Amino acid sequence: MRYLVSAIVLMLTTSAWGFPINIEHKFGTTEIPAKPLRVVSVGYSEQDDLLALGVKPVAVRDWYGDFPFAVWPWAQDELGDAEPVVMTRDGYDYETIAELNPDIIIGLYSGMSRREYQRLSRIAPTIAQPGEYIDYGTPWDEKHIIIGRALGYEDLAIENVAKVEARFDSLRQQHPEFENKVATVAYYYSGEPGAYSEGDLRSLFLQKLGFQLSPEITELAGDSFYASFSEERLDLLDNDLLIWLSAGDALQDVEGIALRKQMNFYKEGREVFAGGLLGGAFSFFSPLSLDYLLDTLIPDMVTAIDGDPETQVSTYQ
Amino acid sequence: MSTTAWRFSKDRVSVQFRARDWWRIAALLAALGIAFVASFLIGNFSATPGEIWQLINGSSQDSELALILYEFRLPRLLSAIFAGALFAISGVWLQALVRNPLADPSLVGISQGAALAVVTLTIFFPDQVGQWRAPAAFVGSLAVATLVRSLSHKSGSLKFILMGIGLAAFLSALTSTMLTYGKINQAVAALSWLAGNVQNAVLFDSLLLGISLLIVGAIALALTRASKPMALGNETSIGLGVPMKRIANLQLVAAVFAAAIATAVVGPVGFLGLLAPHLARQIVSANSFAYWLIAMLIGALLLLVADTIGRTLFMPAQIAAGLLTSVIGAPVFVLLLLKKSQS
Repeated sequence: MRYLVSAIVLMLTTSAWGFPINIEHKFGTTEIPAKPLRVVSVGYSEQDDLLALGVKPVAVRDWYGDFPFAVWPWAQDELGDAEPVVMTRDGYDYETIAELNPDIIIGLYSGMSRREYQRLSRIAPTIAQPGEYIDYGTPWDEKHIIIGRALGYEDLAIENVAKVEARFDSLRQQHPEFENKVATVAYYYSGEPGAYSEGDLRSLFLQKLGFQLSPEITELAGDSFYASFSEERLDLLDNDLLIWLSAGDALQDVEGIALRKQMNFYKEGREVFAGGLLGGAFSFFSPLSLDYLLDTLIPDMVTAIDGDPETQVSTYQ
Repeated sequence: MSTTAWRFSKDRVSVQFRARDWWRIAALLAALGIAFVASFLIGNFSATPGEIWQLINGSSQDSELALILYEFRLPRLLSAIFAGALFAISGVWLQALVRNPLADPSLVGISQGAALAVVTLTIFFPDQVGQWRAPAAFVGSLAVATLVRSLSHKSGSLKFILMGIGLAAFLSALTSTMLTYGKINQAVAALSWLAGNVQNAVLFDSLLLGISLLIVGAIALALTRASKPMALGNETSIGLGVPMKRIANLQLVAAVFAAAIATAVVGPVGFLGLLAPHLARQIVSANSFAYWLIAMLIGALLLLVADTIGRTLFMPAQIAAGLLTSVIGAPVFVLLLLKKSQS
């Protein structure tokens, strides 16, 4: 019933004459006077959300990966032949942004400070990160729907989210072997292993498929969304499934860990290597990247969870 | 050689200028003026000089251009000029105080003290950063300067420098530790300030820096009378009636104040306090008031040029001015030293 009422309210507020609307965020409320046409994204991953809504931004921000126009392969189709200006990771070039004459500036995943928000607001209505979550901690679905609402595509945004959720549900039903098993998404960076805990999107991915998280890692992480620990505690990762995340070659990253070959997860072939594109899809966690992630990762997860070292997973570079 | 002398307040403040110093000061002012105008005209927001001129004299109402020029570019340029001058004068005073040309706010721990204070604030009280960054930086700098002074004040200038360098290293390590173990999103926010840039300067910042510069300038005037005898050595100065202790304390507090307020606004910028006095000494003798003025002008010019290059060279990438001053400053300094050792 609750959903029906909110659906009706949403439909009423997002009709064609839905503007002006107000969006609340960490630094206050922004009013968007009319449906924005020229959109600048100053967040690291918002280009995916915009493209999923059929909006082609005039400027995007590069996170990593050196892809043309900072758009990763899973979103290239949606980009088409648009050529947004690519801004760099460090600092905002206010003059370039102003020159593009944007109608709206979107920065939910930008970690902007109050000062930067004020500066950007002088150029165009700016949407910053929501105040209820830490910077970069907004859940993927809320992020997508807020962006949809700001651009006048809230219905489409809700639909996109629903489709992905439905896919998760159906995959969960198709794979009863995932249910209640303990899985972890981990990384090895600069000599230190670490794992994502409760509250991180990557852990959420596992939970949506029916997995449980390791309670020890959650305890170790405390308030933070990740826990890093010494190589001697590699046993923390020794559960039913282990996904190694990397921006480069995940297998190469972890080859050098001394204790790895002693662990059950190695001996029983329970590791999955999500490097390169897969790692990026995980980090972006958008409706577009999740489709790609589910397509590519599930078969490997099935192979890994059987605990049979004979069945090999592929490595992704 | 004609000399002009200005005397105020029964000779308590007296300033001497040589004729040729006037030319040098004028030349530097002209250079600064040209750089300022050029910077005002250059930027990633494309506008022809004609359009800008029309905006300034009121014949066009382009509000977007006005926004960019007056709210983004102008505060940035002014902040760069004022902060550059402040770092330079801080270097001048530190070098005079410790009688060592290697003194610089970033080498004796002052910048690092400010940096540690600001990073601590960012990690533990992230909501208060906007308001309390300037006071925190000031307190941090002053605390470090006092510590270094008290640890070395009976032992001469070399120990001051060495103590400062040691403390700077210790503070940098503490800062790095906080960045590593603090929450990652706050560490990222702190890092951008640590690079030292004028990017987010608003008009208020320029005002703050401008007023500080006026205060610092007034102190410089008050100290000029003592500077000539002090150059002759401690014993001679005391014999000539210079209140050494008071002057030294005033110089230290003023140097710290100048560096701290500049650091609070633009972040720790290295090498200006080292380079500007050095370059000024190539032009005038270190014993004239013109030296201080010229050092400030050079500091202002350097930071302005560094910022302009940083924001336009690799458009739309923004290179922090602090990075540029270090990248350019270090080799230039080495060159100066080499030239000196050859001559």
